[in-house]
Order: sequence, then structure tokens, then C-alpha cells
Amino acid sequence: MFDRYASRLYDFTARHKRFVQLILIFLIIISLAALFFVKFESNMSEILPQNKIISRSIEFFRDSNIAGKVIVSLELTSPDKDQKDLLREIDSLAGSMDKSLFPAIAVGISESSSANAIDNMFKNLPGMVSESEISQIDSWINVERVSQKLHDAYLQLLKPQGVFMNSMLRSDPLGLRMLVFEKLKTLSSSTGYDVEIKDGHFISRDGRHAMLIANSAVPVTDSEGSKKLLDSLKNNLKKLPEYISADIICVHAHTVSNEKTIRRDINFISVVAAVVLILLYVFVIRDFSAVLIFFVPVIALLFSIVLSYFFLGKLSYWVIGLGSTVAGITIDYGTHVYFAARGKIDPSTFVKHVIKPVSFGAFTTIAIFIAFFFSKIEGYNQLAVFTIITIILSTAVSIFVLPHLIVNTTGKSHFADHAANKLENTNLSNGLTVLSWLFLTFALASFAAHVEFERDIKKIDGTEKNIIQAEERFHKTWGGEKTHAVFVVSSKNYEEALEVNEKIYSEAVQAVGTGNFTSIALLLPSEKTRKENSERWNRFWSEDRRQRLRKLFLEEGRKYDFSENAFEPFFSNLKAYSSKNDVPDFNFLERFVHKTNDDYRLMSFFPDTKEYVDLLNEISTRYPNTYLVSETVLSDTLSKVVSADLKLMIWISAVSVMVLTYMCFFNIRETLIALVPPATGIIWLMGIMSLLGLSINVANMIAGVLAIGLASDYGIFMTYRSRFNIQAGTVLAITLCTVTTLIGAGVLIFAKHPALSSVGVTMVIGVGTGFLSSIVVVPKLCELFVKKR
Amino acid sequence: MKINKIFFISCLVTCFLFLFIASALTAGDETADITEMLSRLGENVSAFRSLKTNFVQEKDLAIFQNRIIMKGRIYLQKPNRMAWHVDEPVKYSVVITDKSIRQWDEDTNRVQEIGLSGNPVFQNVLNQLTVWFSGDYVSLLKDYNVRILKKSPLVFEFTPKGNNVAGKIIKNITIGLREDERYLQQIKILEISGDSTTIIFKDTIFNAPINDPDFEVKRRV
Repeated sequence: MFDRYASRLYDFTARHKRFVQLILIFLIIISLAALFFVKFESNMSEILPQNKIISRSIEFFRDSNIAGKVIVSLELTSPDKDQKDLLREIDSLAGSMDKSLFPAIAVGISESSSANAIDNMFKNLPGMVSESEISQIDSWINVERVSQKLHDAYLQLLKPQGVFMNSMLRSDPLGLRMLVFEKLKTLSSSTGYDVEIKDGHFISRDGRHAMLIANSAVPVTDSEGSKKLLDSLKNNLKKLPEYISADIICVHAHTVSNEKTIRRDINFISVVAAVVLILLYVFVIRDFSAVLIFFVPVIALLFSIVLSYFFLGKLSYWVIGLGSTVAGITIDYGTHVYFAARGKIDPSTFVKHVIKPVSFGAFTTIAIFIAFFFSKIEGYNQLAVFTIITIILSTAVSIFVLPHLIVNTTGKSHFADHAANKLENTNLSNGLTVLSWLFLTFALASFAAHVEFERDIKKIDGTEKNIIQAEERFHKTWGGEKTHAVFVVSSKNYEEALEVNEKIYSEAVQAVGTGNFTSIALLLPSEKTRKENSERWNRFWSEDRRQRLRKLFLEEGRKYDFSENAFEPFFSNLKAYSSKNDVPDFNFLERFVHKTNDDYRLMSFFPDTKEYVDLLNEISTRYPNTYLVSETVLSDTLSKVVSADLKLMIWISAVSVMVLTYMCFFNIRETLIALVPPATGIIWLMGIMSLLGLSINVANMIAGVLAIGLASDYGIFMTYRSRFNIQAGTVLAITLCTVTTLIGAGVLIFAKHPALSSVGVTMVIGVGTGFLSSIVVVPKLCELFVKKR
Repeated sequence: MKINKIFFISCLVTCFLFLFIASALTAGDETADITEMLSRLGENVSAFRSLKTNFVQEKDLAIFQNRIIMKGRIYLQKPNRMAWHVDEPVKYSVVITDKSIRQWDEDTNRVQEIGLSGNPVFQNVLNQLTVWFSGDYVSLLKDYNVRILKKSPLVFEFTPKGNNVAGKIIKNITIGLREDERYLQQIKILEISGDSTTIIFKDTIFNAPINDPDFEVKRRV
């Protein structure tokens, strides 16, 4: 039935070939015009699975200021210049930056603002002091301790810095401020950076670097905006004197660099693949009309880009990056039809003969890409739409348009005919090759089981070396290479968030130790705790205790000539303490408390190790609206989700390929033989990858599935060829198809972007081994098990 | 009568304008003068590689029953070493560099070292002291308002500007120079609380050889 309808359609297009060609030209013009309106994206999240943990981590980084920060590290390169020159230049740079792109710029911490922040915190002391700290203070109220403190105070006042400590010592002779400083000290450890403050500026320990931190108005996923932002900043940096060098550290640089690398790779791949393909067709086939085969996938890709954008509303560069590979597949259909039609006075019989294997070859590949719709990775869904459209259009143009454009080459070129005849009549398949194939397949199957999935997304990050080197220099100067995991408490209600954060802190320090969990909970306890602490504080500072302490100060103070009212400010302050605990407005709190449009997020930090992640994850499961953001969690989740995705896609693909192959032959034996190349492709691919120490990643996973589809085409063609005794140039066509695919994929190996490069390696191994098995195994198996018709 | 009144008001307005313009011009001149003077002084005062001086420090602080009078020596070596040795009323030493502060006192007989990184407030205090002693007064203009109290011998008054964290404690600092304007005669720091500290410098020697033991906090033990 398929053959009958396909033949009728072929005859119809043959009768109206001029009309069909005109429509095609019209559609090409429309598509070319529409191409100007297509906008491409380069969002990394599109190649990540849609999973709650992954999306939440990405959303966390997007919403928090952490990912959106732009850091500039300036270095003094001349020994003749000093820190004053450096600070002057960084101030001038901060002043010249575009405020619409960088709404907040900091070159340091203002001494007055940090003094105010500490003062504010000190005012909230009663609400912050825990029961154990009250006991600690109680232990200080005795003759020995007071005497010691007053002796220290006396010496401090006599020292050069005493001028600035007079009022502090009068208002806090017991050193209660140290309780606040200790809490603050634990917070500063969470940054992991090695920063000194000099003259209100961030300075490196060697004194030769200064740092500027800017909030950016551009989301890190906006590639156009990121480019504009970096260009603006680079223009500002050009104005720096020659004795200062600058490094820019930000995620925006990765976004722009990834897009730049992919674009450059696409241009390189497209040009090289096109030139090699044209040369191959012109010199091997020696027929100018063979160039038309090359135009089939180009036309299909053109239509597909426009149609996919129309259906999806967006299209990733990543998907287009695979265009050359897809073109490599779809060129196969044109090649088969060309070899069936060329040199024939009436090609229709021969073309009609290849319609079925070509169509079913296309169907099996489409079936594989249908499996991509079941993936949780949005980029794969896009790829499925894009590829299916390309395959359908390419197949249709190959079968119904291309044969009518091929010039009758009878008597003109004999090279391809000789090659076709030679290949058709050379039998590379025999018992020995089949046995060798069986042995190698079993051997590689044992290695295939050990191929690993790449968990580190950074390994497929195509950021340019200069950016990575700048980051290495930055970490060498400023530290901070070890990233911390984040325990996030999220709530619409600020007080509720504080309460949960406090509970989590007390559980977390028990699980991982105080030194390994940095939380704002000690400085910002919940309202309930603040109230309890304040009441305890007021009870503690009873009139009796005050009088006792006053007496101690008086008696011990005489030894150092302290006046009677020396510490009166301390006693006045005890009454003036506030029990309120408003959100203090100081810079370093931004790292721990973040207000989004919807909620408050309180963030605590801990070392990103599996042990701590597991322990804290257990706590997080007990509290709704809390979660962890860590590279360890992200990698684990990614690995689990993508592995599950891969398994599902392989099953769907395998079943679809088997069903469609069976529908092509309606014979179990022929179906099993036709499935030999795809089975070989997948087993050998995974086995060789394991042997070479390569791993599966989110990018080359697609290539692997794609290779199975191509190998299944070869299986169908070669089995179909053995079924009928028609010289339709199948072996030469398959060989040329493989060569073209290997060219397309082989060029990808040289891509700078590691994701595209890994796709190339996978395609070359998968398609190459699938092709070999179709040439050296399938014919012998057909000879043994298939009855010729 | 009416005309006289208008004439009188016009005269007043003109006089007022004249006075306003004149005072503004004078103020501008004065600021330029002060910057120039401080710059010149900075060059004079800071024209030494090392310095030894005796000092007497008087502290009139409400925290103490009586005025405290201290005597000792200061050693300065450029670019960033300062030693402060006190003999009376207690013996103690402080050595300050750009990285740390080392202190010793006779009562405890312990040497304590504090790193200045991560201690911005302390660092700022020491930076300020270094500036006062080393003579880089022009750099103080961004944080202090300056006026000349006396021209011979020169006496300046530095008042912290609004954004200067020192303004929380210090009302003003008065610097008096020697007749030859080569170094300080005295510094008086007046706090907002009314407390004051005065340091009087005596027997200052420039570029005298300073030995490493002078920068040892425990050298006299």
C-alpha cells in the first residue's frame, strides 16, 4: 500500500514538476526573508533537564545577586607606582561606569557605614545574647575579672590608639562588644575571600590589587545584554593608565564567550563541511547536478529553522549547532535517490524502488527524535522539532523534486558507475568477518557497561581560555576558589523565615559543627527568641547586680586612678538597649538575607562536600520551603535525571526502530538482520568510549542516539538490497552517506566548544562502526538467512 | 522719605552683596592658601628617612581622676615603621608596621601581636596616627576641614568632616609646628566629650641611625 501511494505521488510530481519547482523557489525566497526575524538564544538552562532541584538552583542563582555580580580586579604592574595610584584609578573607574548597566558599585566598605552597622548591632545586643552568653557575662562579674579588664583598659588608654578607644572603654568596660564581633567573625569566613580593607577600599594581601564589585542590571542569561555590558566595561578599562592591568570576573563573560565559541564553531564547521562535501560530490561523482544533493539538506534546514521558530517561539544556537550533523543525515536521502536515478533513461522505476527504504530510513530516524520529546531537557525537545521537520522536508525534496532535476548523464561519466559496480560486486562480508564482528561486539559489550556519565557541567563549558586564566589569576590573588554550598530558607514572611532559619541553625551545627555552618541566625534571631533573650537580659541586669558591678568598678578602678563616674556610660547604656531587631542596613548582610519580588531568602553557607550535603539535606527534608543549592547536589541530580532520561529515550528509540524496521520488511529474520548495524553502533560506541576514557554528557548523548538512527538506515538499505536483485547503487550510496556524515561529524571534533567536539567524536565512532557492520556483516547474514525475491 | 528708604535699602543690599562676594573670594583664597601651605609643610615635615623624638603626653580624660602625664620616645622609619616606647607611669612599648601591631607591657611581660588584616577600624586608627606623625597633611583634606589658628609659629586646626568616622569621637585636632616648621611641636586631640590628649615633642633628631632593637617591643627587658 505504501509503495502504491508513494508511486502515485511520485508520478503526480513528475507530471507537474515545473509547478512544484516554482513553489519550492517561492518558499525558499519567503524563508530567506523570514530568517531575518528569527532570534537565536544561547541559554545553558535549555540543555539542562527540567527538574525541581535543577530549576530551583538555576532560579536561585538568577534571582540572587551572587550570579549577577561583576567583579573587576585591578593590578599595579609598575613597581614605581604605589597603592595611592591604584586607589585613585579604581575610584575613577567606579565613577566612570555606566549606572544604567551597573546600578550599584562598591570599591570597598565605607568606614562610617561599617561603624554605624556595628553600632546598630550593638544596640540590639539584648535580643542577641543567648542564655549561655548571659552565664558567660555573669562569670565576668568578679574581682579578678573586673581588675583584669580595668588594667587592660588602663593600658589601652595610654597607648597611641587610646585616643580612639576612650569612649568605647567607658561604655563597654566588660567587653560585651566582643560577643557581637565573635558572631560577625564567623560570618566573614563564609566568603572564602582574602580581602583587606585599606582606606575604605578592598585591597589584596600583597597590596598590589584592588577590587571593584558591581551589581549588574543585566541577567546572566541575556547574551545580547551581557555583550553590551562587557563592551561598556571594557571601554572604561581602556582609559586606565598602562601601569594598571584589569581582570573581569563575572558569569556574563561565560555567557558571551560560550555564544562566541559556538558561533565561531558553526561558521567554521559549515564552511569546511560544505567545501569538502561539494568537492567530494564533484570529484567522485563528476556530475555537476550532484551538487543538487547538497542543496537538499540546505533547503530543508532553511525551512526548518523558520518553521521551528514559528512553532516553538524560540530557537537555541545549540540546536542549530547540530545543524551540520542533521544535514549530514538528511543528505543521505538525496544521495540514495540520486544513485537510483542517475544514468537511467527512465529513472522512475529505480527511484520508486528506493522510496520505501529511503522513507523507512527517515521514519526510523524520526522515531528516534520522537523519543527526544519524552526528555526533560528543553533543548532536546527543540532539537526533536527542528530535526523531524528537517528530515521530513529533506526526504520529500529528495524523492519528489530531486530526480526531476538530475541531468541525464548516460555516457558522460563512468567513474561513479565503475565505483558503484565495483562496490556492488565486491563482497567484503564473509564468515570470518562475521565471527570477528561477533567476538569484538561481545568484548566491547563488557566495556560498554562501564562508560560513565559526566556530572561536571563545567566540562562542557566552552568559555575561552583568557576568561578562565583571568579567573585563575583572581583566585590566586583573592582566594575564594572553593565554593560553598548554600542552605536556603525561603518564606513570604520575614519573621517566619528567621524562625525556621534559627531552628535549622541549631540542628545544622549539631550535625556538621559550628565552624562548618555560617548562618545569620546568631545575629538575627527570630522575634520569639529576641523577646526571650531581651527578657532574660533585663532580668539579669537587676538593680542588685548593677550595684555590685558599680562597686567593683569603683574599688578596682582606684588602683588605676579611674574616676567615680568613669563607667557611667556603661550603666546608662544598659537601660537604653533596644529589644527591636529591624533588618540592619549594612553591606555584608546582603550575602545572607535576600528579598526577591515574592519572598525573603535567608542563606547559610557550608563546605560543599557530599558528607555535609547529605547531613544537611536530611534536615532540609524536615522543613518545607527550605532547600540546598550546591554543585554536589546539582551534579548528582543532573546525573540521576539525565541517566533516567537517557534510559527512557534509548528504550523508546529501540522499540520504535524495531517496530518501524519490522513494518518495512514484515519479516522477523530480515528485521533482526537490519537491526545489526544500530545494535553494533551503540555497543561499539559505548565500549570504545569506555576504553578511551570518554564519558557521556548531556550533549553527546544526542549524538549517540542519532548514530543509532543512521546505522538503522544502513541496516534497512543493505537488507532491502539483498532482498531484491536491483542495481540501485546502494553500497556506493551508503559509503558516500557515511563519508558525508563522517565529514560533518568529523569537523565537529575540531570545534573549540567541548560540547560540540564531544558530539563529533560520538558521531564518528557510532556511525563508522554502524557502517562497517552493514558492509561486512549484513550481506553474509542475508546470504544465510534471507530468501531473494 | 520714601525715596530715601529705597536708597537706604539699595545701599544695604549692595553692601551685603559686596561683603558676600568678598568673603567668598577670601574663603576661596584661604582654601588655596591652606592646601599650598599644607603641601609645603608636608614636604618639610616629611623630608626625613627616620626620626627619633622624646615626647610628653598629657591626658585630661573624664575617665581618670587626675591628669595622666606620660614620658617616652617615638621612633619613625619610613615608609611604615613606628615604635612608641613609654617609661612613665608604666613601661610599655608598641611597634606598628603596615601589617601588624606588636605590644608589650611591664605588668604582664607578654608580647601581643595583632594582624591588621581583617581589622579595618584598628587599621584606620593606626593609619591616621601615621599620617599625623609623618606629615602627609594634604591627604587629610578629604576627611577634615582645616583652618589656620596662628601663623607664627604655625598652628592648624583639623575638624572631621561629616562623613569621617573619626567625627564620632573627635571634635578637632590642633597641630602646632616648630619655629623652623620642620616637625611638630605638639598635637592636641580634643574629643567631643571634652576629653583631651596633648603630645609635646622634644629633642627631635632627623635621619639619625635607628637600630633594629629600637623596633623591638621587649628590648628593655
